[in-house]
Amino acid sequence: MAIDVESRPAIAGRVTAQRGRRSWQRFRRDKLLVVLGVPGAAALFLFQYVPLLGNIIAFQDYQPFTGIDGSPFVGLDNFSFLWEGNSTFLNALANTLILTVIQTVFVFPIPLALALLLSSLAGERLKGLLQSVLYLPHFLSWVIVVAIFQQMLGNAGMLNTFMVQNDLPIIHIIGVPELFKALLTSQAIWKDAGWGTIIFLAAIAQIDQEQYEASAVDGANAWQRLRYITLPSLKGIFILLLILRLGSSLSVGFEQIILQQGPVGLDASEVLDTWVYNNGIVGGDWGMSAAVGLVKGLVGVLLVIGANKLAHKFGEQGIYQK
Amino acid sequence: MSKINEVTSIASRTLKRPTKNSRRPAWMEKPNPLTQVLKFIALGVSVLLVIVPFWSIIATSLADKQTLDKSAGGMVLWPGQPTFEAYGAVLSGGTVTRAMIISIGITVIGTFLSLAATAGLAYWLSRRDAFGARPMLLLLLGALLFSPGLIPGYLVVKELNLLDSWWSLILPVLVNAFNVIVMRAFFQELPQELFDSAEIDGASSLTVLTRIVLPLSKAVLAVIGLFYAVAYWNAFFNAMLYIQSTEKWPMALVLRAFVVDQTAIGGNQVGAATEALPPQLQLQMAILVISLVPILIVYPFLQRHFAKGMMIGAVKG
Amino acid sequence: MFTTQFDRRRLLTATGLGLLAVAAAPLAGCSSGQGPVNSPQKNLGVKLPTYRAYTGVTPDLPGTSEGVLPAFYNMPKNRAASVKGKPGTGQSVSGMANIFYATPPGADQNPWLAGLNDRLGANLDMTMVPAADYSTKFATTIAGNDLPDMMLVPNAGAPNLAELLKARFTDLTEYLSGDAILEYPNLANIATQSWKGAVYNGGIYGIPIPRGLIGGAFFIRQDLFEKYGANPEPRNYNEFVEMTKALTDPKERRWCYANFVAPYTALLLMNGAPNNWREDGGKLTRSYETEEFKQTLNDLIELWKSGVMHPDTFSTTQPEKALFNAGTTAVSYGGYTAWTQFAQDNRSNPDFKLALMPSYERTSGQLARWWTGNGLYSINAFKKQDNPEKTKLLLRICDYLAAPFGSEEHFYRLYGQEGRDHTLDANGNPVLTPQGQAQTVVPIRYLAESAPVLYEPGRPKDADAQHAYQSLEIPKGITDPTLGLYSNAFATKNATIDKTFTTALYDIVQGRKPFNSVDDLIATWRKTGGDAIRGEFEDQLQKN
Repeated sequence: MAIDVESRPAIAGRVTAQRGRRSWQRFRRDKLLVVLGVPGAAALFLFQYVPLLGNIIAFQDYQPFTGIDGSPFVGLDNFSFLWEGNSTFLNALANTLILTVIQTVFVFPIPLALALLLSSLAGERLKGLLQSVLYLPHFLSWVIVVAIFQQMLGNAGMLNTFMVQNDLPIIHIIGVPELFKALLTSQAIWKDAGWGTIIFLAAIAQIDQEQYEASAVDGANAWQRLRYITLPSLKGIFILLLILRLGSSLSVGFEQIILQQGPVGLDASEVLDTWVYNNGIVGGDWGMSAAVGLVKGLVGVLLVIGANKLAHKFGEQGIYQK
Repeated sequence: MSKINEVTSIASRTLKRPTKNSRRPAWMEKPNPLTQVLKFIALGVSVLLVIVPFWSIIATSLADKQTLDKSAGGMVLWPGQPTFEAYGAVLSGGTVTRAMIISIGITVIGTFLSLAATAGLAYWLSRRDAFGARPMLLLLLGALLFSPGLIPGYLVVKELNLLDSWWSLILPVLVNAFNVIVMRAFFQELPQELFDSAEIDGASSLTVLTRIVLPLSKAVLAVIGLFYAVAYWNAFFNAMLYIQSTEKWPMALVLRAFVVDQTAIGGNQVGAATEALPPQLQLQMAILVISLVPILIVYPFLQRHFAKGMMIGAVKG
Repeated sequence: MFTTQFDRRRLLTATGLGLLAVAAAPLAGCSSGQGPVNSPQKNLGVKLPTYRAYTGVTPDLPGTSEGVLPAFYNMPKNRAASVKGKPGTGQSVSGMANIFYATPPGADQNPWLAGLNDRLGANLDMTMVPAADYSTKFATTIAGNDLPDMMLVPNAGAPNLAELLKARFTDLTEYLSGDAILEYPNLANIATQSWKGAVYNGGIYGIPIPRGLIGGAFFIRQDLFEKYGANPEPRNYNEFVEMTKALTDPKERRWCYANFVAPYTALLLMNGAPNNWREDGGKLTRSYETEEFKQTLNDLIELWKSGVMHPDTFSTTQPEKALFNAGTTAVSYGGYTAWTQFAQDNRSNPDFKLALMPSYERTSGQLARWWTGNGLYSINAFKKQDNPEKTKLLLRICDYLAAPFGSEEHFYRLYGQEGRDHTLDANGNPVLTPQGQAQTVVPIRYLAESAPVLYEPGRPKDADAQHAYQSLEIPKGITDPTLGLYSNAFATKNATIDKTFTTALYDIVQGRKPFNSVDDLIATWRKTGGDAIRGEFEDQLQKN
């Protein structure tokens, strides 16, 4: 028996959002909720927030032997890479931004498409089997993935051996700077598209089947059901994931890229994370590395807030509401 | 009365009767053959792209020495005379088996605890206007976007006396901000009427959580549980940092010691003759397969929960 | 997107590595205002340990003071004990080192280790770290200030290494300098050259893990050379090029080289480029800046064009050794110790013939100058503590572990117990059993190592070949003039600028950038640290 919300004025429930309530009353009401959340919050606080304090070295001329206490404050000196106009940094930044756009446009939607494809299959077992196969590459480390691509597509790999033995010209894929971003993208798709379907499949599973049945009775065909039931139901999670993805825009992959910088050169392959590694960590510039980490986090925060606001304009919930 | 006729007549016009023994739900019409073909091509290609390299991995792990030599140290598509030598080499000595048991323990306990903590946190944050939910959510986002440094993390673990303990592999990663946010989103999608009617019936928050929310959230619990389980299973880095004694190493770390750059695996000592070991690439492939097996076993059980559709008929009743 | 968490893990590693040695508490007794404590003046003034060769065995082919290693055809049958009594009396001792092999079983399941502990009279607890992660673990250990009693300290290249040693590790000078070392005869057997690498801050700060001076070697598939009519000893540039061509046929999937470092090194040697730096009247020139380097670059461009390098040469995941084993490539360059592994890997291949290729000058027909190495892999440093008895205990343990080839202790350390860990072949050479293989890999060889020798069990001809090669090349050896000097700029910047330089070099070699752009590369190298490094090294040279 569906309860009509409007007709319950007297019941003191959460449904009646009374914003003027004193915090103490809300606390009493939500005590249990908070208690449920405390263990997780405590773990988060202890192991993520407390160590974050170590990032103070971003503002110091940090030397290991003087420690944090002894290293002098240098204000924003470590952040100078932002305005110095260092060409390698700018190149890395450009590569990063281009890659993140490519990944968001090409890589991000694929799990959704795959999930829709899979869920439209009628057979349960077939669906399960296919999905189990597709997620497998996720478990490979990047070292192996790069080696596999090398074995298959390298200049002396399976494909090109076939070409050479049949007197055909070699197809150069690996080691071509112009193709590097495309290579990275296809590797990312291969490795994680299948794994990414999991969340969407779970979301699809949450959709009330009765809606499909009812709409079919009303005469909706498969495309219409997709458009009017499935996609709208997935909109929320899709946008949430998109916002989270934007938050990590400046991270486009570290291990995957650093393994493949040699053949294509730094111009084509350096991104922010590898730049920090090659210029900061390898040489022991601790302050600068921490500074870059802070900048990335800050940019991520701004992007998340911005994306969230944008989502609100479209009537979506986003991650949080005002 | 006429309305029912109307509906029925529309139904009989638009719904094609399902054929006998069909696995389609009664309301679903027969799919368009062209769409079917395109679908199968798309899926077929995707599957092939994954299966061929994996088949190659398995074949390489099983191949005999001659076949491997002929392939110039690379991977093969056919194992020739299959042999389990590589697996034998990896599994002999009991270190890997023991580590696997350790890993299973850590994964099971860790996943359970993580799910509990994550669900609790996500549930709290999913309730609109809950006390403290807003600041906590912002803190969560902060944890997602800012990563702490390696050494400060190490120092915290050390101060808590967790060094060389398996808890150092569980507690620091107990809650993953991304997972919390996703689970929260799923909780938020649950119809508000459920909570309303429960409240009217006088249920406490705990009862609501355990009797209503969790049973309906099997899909997201399975998914997030899978994410955590895989993370625990594959984690080697924290073990490398925090666990001093090799007897306590989880499997991922033991296997990492096998997979090192181009360096030789096995008993290479200057001036020591050894009985021949399988080639390095083959050992790496065997290791890969070994570490995949438990996941492949567990996965189908979890998958049931998020592949099927659900009836949330409870709302209407 | 779904890999967010995993990518962050990698980044965590990356940024975390950047927080090397963040100490929560400032280091006790360390002040950076005292001026350089690690000057070559001070270091050269240190009296190195006396060298006393072990005379318990006689090599079949003697070593030389220049650095050729002694060679043995077979394991000596009479193995005397080189250490009197047990080093310890039941104490627990801890160590940390990197491990390149499969994880050995722990003490409770490792009879070999139990046997070793028994012989040491101590309970040795080793923390083993996968080699790829050692620098990370090193950093956190220092930061967390819970050092084991002994640990592997990477040789040079760690920033502020000298200060680190001074602050956290024991100065062993009084125990080891001059004749004091004679109390530990096996340590006295380590070549003087190797000890130089353990000198910092005017003192001896660790036990060096010695290696032969020969450094690297060019390994060749002699069987393939014979099969394709290639010259295994090209004496000038033209013969060299012909050799590479004879070995190459893309259709048959065979090439001369599988990676870049082999032809790169070969040509640098042939053209007479210096060993990293050339010193002239106190002035240093980096090899990149020399004319010989430009010549080499030209040669490499030609070489690449001629197709004798494997098409995937520049790939990081290139399985170079596997390709060599499979006969896809015929020349490989690596540390001289790789001989053993090559021999083992290809034991079941009757055609496989391993040989070494010497280097000749470009036109003169003479042997080229050979770049010698620095004689050690790393040092084992002792945690700073006040108890001299403990230090002596650790030194006695190291003395035991450094027992020379042919001694009873050495034999047990490498091969364990007969029957259980190894079997003996007809000539008394040990062959490890699978159990022996798995158990004896505990990385104690990075705590102390015997003086290196040439020995290939069951293959005496191999010892001949290697000894002959070393005898040929070592007399022509030139050392890196910056050996023994410490430059902080080098430790902090060199890896980065070197990597940038070499990666850009790949572009030129493959023809993607014009030859002249190498001048830009050199200019960049100088600007981003090369000149600073040079300055610091030159300063130290002048102070002599």
